Amino acid sequence: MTDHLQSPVALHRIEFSGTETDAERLARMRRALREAEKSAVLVLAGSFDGDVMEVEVIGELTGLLLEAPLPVFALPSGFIGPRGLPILLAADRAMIGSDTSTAGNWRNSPALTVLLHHRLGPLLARAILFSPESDLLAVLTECGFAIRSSDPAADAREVANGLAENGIGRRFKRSLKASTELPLKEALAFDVWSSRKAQGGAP
Amino acid sequence: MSASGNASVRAERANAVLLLTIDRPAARNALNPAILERLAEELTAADQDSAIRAIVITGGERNFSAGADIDALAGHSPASYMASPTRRAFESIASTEKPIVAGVAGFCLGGGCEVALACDLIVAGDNAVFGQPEINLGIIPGAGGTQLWRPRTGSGPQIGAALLGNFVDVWTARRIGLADEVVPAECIVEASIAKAQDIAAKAPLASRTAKAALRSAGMMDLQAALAHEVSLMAGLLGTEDAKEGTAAFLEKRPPQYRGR
Repeated sequence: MTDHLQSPVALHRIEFSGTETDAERLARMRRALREAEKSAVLVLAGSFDGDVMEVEVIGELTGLLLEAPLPVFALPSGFIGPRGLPILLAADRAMIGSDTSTAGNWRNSPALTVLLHHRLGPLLARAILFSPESDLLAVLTECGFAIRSSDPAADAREVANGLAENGIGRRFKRSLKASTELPLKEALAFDVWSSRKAQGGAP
Repeated sequence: MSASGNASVRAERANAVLLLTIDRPAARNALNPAILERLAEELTAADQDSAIRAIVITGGERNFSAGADIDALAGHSPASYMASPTRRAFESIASTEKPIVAGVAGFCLGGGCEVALACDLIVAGDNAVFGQPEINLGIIPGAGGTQLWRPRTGSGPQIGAALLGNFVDVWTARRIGLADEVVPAECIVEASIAKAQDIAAKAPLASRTAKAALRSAGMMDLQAALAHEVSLMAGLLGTEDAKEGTAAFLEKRPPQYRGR
């Protein structure tokens, strides 16, 4: 279900079903990214449970999310399995309800190693990967990637409203992308151009 | 900024910089013979105009150019292509003596990519995509697309572009040296002009001579290119600009170059 009509304009939300195939999920994600052209935040909610059916499709889906031009929030409900974990880690932020926990052999998730390394850094990635008893969601929460919330949807809406102002969320996202891809000084120059344009200044 | 132009290429002046904008948005700035000839004419005229010290070629913030107009390409026979205005126009662009900055956003494919690669510096918007998809049409790039990647990127990306028609996103383009700077796409025109103005602030004869020396790398062997560089340098030493540059340095003031 895509419920952007019920959501505030700032927020475009798609709800994952536990029964859809990975290919269907990928197609919905592509559509959602097109439809979210005017939104400040894309929210991925619903089922993150289950095993991976098509590894290549999950890889494609993860790549698509990493290229998303707007902030992406993951709001998983219930269990997070090997199928949902790459999506969660490819998001910019996770908002987790009190009922949410990992399930199944989540260590078998495709893209897990790479995403943990890029999102959390080499030390935390190793701490998670090489400690069989590690509580993944506790680490994600402790390091600031995820927050525990009694009402994740309300929190997402509140943050999205703030990010809608002057398109600042999208600007953050582009500068984050530049920071990932460019050397520090080139990324700084990119951000200066972006800030200058946002302020309506002349070059 | 003063402007002139027809429907497909706009020519404007920003002080000593000539800004040429490919303006055919309905066709994603596909290059037809009229556009290429107009670009070639403007560049030839710019070489003769001492008030112009650097040039920008851009397609604006949406697309640089999605490639050559397929209709125009399909109309050629082997003989007519060799003698076509299109081919001559590409040669003319590549032989321009003044420094050119390409301001690339969005699609920069096929002939569009070859135009960008004929420029001296490439400033790219964060939505830019480079590629030579000609192989997918049963042809090959015919205006430099099998040669001009290599000096910037080395062999691998050149082969990937020519044999596989691989597209290269802007971040990869920056990493492999295809693009020289990445800016937000909506800033592409300003950033390209700023780069051209940096060039225009240097001594114009020296900029032109440096470009000639740089170009010799692909046209002669190293020893000949080094000898050519020496002769070019010697030629510059007698110019007013060279005297002004050294005098300004010693007197700790900004130089005032006159192109003499």
